[in-house]
Amino acid sequence: MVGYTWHFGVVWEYREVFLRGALVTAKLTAGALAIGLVLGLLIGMAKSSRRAWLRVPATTYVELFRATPTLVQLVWIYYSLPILTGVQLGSFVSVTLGLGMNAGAYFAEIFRAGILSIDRGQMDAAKAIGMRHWQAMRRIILPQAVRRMIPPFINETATLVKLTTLGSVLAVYELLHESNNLITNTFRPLEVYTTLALAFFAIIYPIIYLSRWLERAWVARS
Amino acid sequence: MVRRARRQVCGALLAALVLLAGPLAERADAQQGTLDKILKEKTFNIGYIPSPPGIIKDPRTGELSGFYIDAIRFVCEQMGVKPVFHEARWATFVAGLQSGQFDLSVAATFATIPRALAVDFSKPIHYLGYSAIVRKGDSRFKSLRDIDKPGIRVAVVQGAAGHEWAKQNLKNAQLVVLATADLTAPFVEVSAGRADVGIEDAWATRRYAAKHPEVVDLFAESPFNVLPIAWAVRKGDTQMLNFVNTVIDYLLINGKLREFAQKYGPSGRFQLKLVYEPVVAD
Repeated sequence: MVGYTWHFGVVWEYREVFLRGALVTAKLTAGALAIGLVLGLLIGMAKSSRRAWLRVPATTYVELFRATPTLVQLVWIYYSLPILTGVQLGSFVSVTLGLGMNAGAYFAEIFRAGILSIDRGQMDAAKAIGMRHWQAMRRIILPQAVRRMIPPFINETATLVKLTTLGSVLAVYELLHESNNLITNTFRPLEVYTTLALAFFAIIYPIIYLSRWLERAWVARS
Repeated sequence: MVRRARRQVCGALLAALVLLAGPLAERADAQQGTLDKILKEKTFNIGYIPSPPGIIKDPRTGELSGFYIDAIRFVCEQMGVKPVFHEARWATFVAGLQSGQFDLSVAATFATIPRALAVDFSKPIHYLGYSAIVRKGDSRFKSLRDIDKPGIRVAVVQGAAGHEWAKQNLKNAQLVVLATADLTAPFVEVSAGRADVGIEDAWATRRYAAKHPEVVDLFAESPFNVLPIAWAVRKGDTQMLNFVNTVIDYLLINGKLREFAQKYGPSGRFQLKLVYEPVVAD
């Protein structure tokens, strides 16, 4: 950098701003993850169903969310939904819901791929000994499929943490928005963004490491 | 069988009624007028965008201050209503007004012609010009004419009033258009050596130059492209617009706004000088 004077003292002075932002980022991720997992499981199973009335809406949902930008989805939920329905959602709820619904579409694909990866003969065998479809799913298919799903789930969770920065567009005070407000007040963008990058690395790297560790552990066990 | 079908139809009609009740109630509110709604609910939903010193959000406490905030709090006190503040961004404040998240935006918005197509602006509250940041010791620039030369890279924020000005006035220089909400971005380009000149409002240039010794504020004393700053209401909401204009007249004429601004020091803003003369001369 041409003659730039770094002043990281500003960052240290406002360290609680980053901690507060990280807490909101964690809350957004946890909320969206919970919504995404429930939706993903239901939609993933509906998408692998033979019944068209379950499969077609589930496929439409997944394609709709995967083919449109997440930012547009969030802005639409926050600003367009009230005009169409009269229901006003707060910015935090809108972002959590939007990210959760978006994650649901991706999780659904992971669930579906996981379920399909289990040999069909196992379902037939479970049914042959008198189990119902759901019983066979719960006792035979899902326990095996979940192990295969965990690494992609963890990767998707890391992506979800990064997507929470979109909350700044709706003025949710997660890490990025807290940083932007700090820049507005201190005029020190480079120091603040450098710290922001390090904060995200500190949050996301353990998640990625966990994914790798689990993969290695299961390969070793099998 | 017939009874079951009838029950299903009744259920569906009931659900439709419940779903429609919300939007219909909203529409009734809209017909009633924004100001009536505010007075009835005793709550004034106000949009803002942090932009010191008019609107400051304390990074530590999250508390709002600034002379535009003080002014609207004073107005709410006079109205006997509670202000409820909603934060927006430059890219979304129009959507916030249109979707009814808030009824007035007190963000210090440059009232330009393209923007006036989307929202209704109040009377000008203040006037603010633009300036330019260049690297210290860069002796190529003395006037605006020196900027508009081939090979000169000029950084601007996309969609900002400075971008509009640059598109209209800089025919030879190369524009570096930055898609960001961060008004310091053009200056960072200069600090980093990726641009020769960074253009933004005269207040932002002054504050950046004060904190970054490697650059200078080129037009600190004579800002260019001076534009009116105004508040905004939903397009077509004449009841609200008339009210806000009356408020601004009141705040400017009795010096209340100047009083609020004084607390926060120089802001780079100007206001028109009022000169009174007798209606009938002696």
